[in-house]
Amino acid sequence: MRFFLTRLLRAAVTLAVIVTFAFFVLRLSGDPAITILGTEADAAALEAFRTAWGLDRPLWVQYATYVQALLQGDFGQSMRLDQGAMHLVAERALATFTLTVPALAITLAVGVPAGVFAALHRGSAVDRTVMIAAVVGFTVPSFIMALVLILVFAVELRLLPSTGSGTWQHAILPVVTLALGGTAAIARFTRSAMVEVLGQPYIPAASAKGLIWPIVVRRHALPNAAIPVVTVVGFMIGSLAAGTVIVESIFSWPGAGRLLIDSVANRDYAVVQTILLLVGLMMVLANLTVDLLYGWLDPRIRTERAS
Amino acid sequence: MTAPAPRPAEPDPPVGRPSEGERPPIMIRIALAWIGAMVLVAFVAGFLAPYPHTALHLADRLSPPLPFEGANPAFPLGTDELGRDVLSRLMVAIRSSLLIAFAATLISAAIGVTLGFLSAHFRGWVEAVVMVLVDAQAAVPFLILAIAVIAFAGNSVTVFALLLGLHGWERIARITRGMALSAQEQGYAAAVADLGAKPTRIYIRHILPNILSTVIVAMTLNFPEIILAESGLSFLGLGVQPPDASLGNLVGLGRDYIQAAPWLILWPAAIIVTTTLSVSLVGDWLRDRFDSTL
Amino acid sequence: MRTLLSLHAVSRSFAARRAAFTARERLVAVRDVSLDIAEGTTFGIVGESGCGKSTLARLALGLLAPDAGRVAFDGIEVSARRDPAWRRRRRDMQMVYQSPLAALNPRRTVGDQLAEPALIHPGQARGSAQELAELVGLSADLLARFPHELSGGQRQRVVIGRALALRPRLVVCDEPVSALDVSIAAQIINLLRDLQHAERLTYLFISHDLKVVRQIAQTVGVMYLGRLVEIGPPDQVFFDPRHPYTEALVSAIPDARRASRKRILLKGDPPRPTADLAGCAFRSRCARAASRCAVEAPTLRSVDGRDVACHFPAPPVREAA
Repeated sequence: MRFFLTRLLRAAVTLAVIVTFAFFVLRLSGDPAITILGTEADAAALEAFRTAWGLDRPLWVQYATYVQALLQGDFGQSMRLDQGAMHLVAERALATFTLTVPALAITLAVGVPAGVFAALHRGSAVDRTVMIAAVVGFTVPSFIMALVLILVFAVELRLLPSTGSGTWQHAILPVVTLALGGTAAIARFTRSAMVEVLGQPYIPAASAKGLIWPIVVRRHALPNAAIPVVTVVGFMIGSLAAGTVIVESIFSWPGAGRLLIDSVANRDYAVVQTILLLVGLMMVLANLTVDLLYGWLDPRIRTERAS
Repeated sequence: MTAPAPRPAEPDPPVGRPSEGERPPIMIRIALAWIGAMVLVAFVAGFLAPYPHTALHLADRLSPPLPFEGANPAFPLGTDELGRDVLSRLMVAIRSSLLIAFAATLISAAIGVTLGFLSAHFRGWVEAVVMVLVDAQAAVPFLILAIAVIAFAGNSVTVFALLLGLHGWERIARITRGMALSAQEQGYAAAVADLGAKPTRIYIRHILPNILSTVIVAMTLNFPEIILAESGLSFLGLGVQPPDASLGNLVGLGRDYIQAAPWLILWPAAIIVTTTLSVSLVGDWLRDRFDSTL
Repeated sequence: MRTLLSLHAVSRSFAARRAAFTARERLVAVRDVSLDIAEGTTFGIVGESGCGKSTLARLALGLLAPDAGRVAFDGIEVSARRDPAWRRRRRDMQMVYQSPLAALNPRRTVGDQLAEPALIHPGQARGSAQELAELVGLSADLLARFPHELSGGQRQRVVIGRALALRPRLVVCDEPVSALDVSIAAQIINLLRDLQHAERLTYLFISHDLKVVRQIAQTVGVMYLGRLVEIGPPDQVFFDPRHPYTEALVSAIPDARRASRKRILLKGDPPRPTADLAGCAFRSRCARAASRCAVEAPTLRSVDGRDVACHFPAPPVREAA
């Protein structure tokens, strides 16, 4: 319990650092009045804009106001679209989740079995395919992957729409792009975790007790191999979030990633800050979940913490 | 895209564990040759490029590469929508991408080593602050952080390289801190302190040489990720700006002509993939050979 | 003879947790220790591992600040603040470590490491690495080697040579031979003795091995749970121990002169040295413990030419000659 509280505190501090960093870097990065109203806007309009958004007040007052509002659940208003930042982000996040959730599901559904199979059949064709795919998955960035997919499936074969949204066909290429890299990474990690576990002395011991091999694998090898794999899944939340920005931009998908790029370009403070905060929150929660799963998967950690 | 994921402990099958003095495996030698070629291109791009990378040849717009039909032998890799020579642009792009990635890798290592040493030396609140920064950096995917900050960075290549230098420092800081603490425990560092050496001398002259090989391996593993981050940002139009060329912005600019002139994206994409693959293979090989702790 | 190093009522405790989720408690590593070392002599400290010997060494050198009491070197208080004055002070006081391999940088040659003190204190160190190697009996062709290429004895010679590069007046030896084979240990002890005469060195010599201490020390202190319980000339302390703990330690050494003597086996483990440990720390394992021992901590008092911290010191031993 104490361990959990410490982690919770660290997570809170981490989020506070992210919020503070985002706030000050954005404030230093230029004047949203000019960006939004344009360079030709007259001085009075600019001044009015600054007063309306409180940009004329000292930086630390703005910061204090922002933090105070944040603690009351107020994420601020978008300067550009005159909407609640949270509302705007949440709306777009929904579109993002329609890409990331299926991508993560594919990643796990394909990557984990492929890795297990490769580990159980080391040196086989599947094993070699998994290893090569894993290296390719790491070195081919998502923007190149996306363009190759567009080139093949949209331009040459004309099977799928290249960009846009609306139908489920539009989602296929972005989801596949997002899933490919992660699948390769998960397969590789699952494979090496399994290979390591299968090399442990308790595996032949379990076989020697007369357990049949599939039961040995299911009962002894998989739960132990799951521990490192769970960690990687935690990390993958981050790479998915980053991948989404690129993929949404390429496929013109109206998600939070494109909102981020647009908002940065327009110095739309509240929106950028909200997105950074939510991404950080997601990562922090993912890591906390991983920690809790650890305890559940590995009774040794649990007892160590309890004693 | 380039999330700092932990790497599997087990080496990949094609990469063996050679004994001291043995020649590296064939894959590694190919990778090293490719890296060497790229570095060479980066150095000689200024003299070797057949045309200035911004020179327009409007009569030869979107000319395909050899040996395709309609290719112009004067432009062996083809031209872009403004008739600029793709070969020349690629050479310049390799130079700027490698230069930026190399500078960023050094910056990231410098930040990581410095903060790692500071937290190992002072412990207490200094260490706490560094670890909070490490946590925060790890909690925001680098690409997203970079996009948020890039408006501040503006269009300067120097500032862009500095920004990329924030990639991966947290891993190097963690490693350095851990190794510095274990060096202190081992006693050789404490023994030099007992002789009356100043902390700077202890860290730079005694601890650093002992951890350098690990830091170099970590840098080698960081480098391809920085190339990918650079090209990703430049692809989005947030990094290196036209008319300057980088591998990522060539892909980004070629994207609008994917149907008419796919070579515009295929060349730079192939170079990005081959280079990151080569450096990753060499990094993995170095790690397996010199440092199994990473 | 003048006193070079003097510790006055020095104590030092550390915070420690017995287990996760228990309150921190303070464990006293060194409790109210006073001693004086005359210039040119050796003061030996013996005791079991964990009795606070190494903490005492670090306190004596100013590597660690005492919670209470003071350490004085040549009449001047030794501070543990790592400022320029502290670093200059290192020229006078040096240390020889238990594990020479750990104390040497694995990536630098022996010659480099012998030359290091001269680089840290420009103009203050003696001669070259060759001279230092000669001083400690190392052949010059070892200078280009790395520590892992040397034997344990050779490594300890390097450590001693490096310590002597600055011409220190005090050398604290913390278990300098416990990691070495018996014959090599004897050579190192002889080297330390020769160097002491040649350089007029003062040693604080810490060991768990009574025989080693007897070979080199003019005065010996027996340490138990952070306290010095018996101090005196080695012959008196080891052949005619008065403190029950010393008796037990001495009885554990096989020795022809005391063949008839029964070995005293201590029962149980030492108690945890918490700050509120009342009375005599040894009473839980002592055969002569009485009710007084639980209330009143014995202080050192003079008994037959040595100091003993015991309410009921043993009577003189009548040797069977």
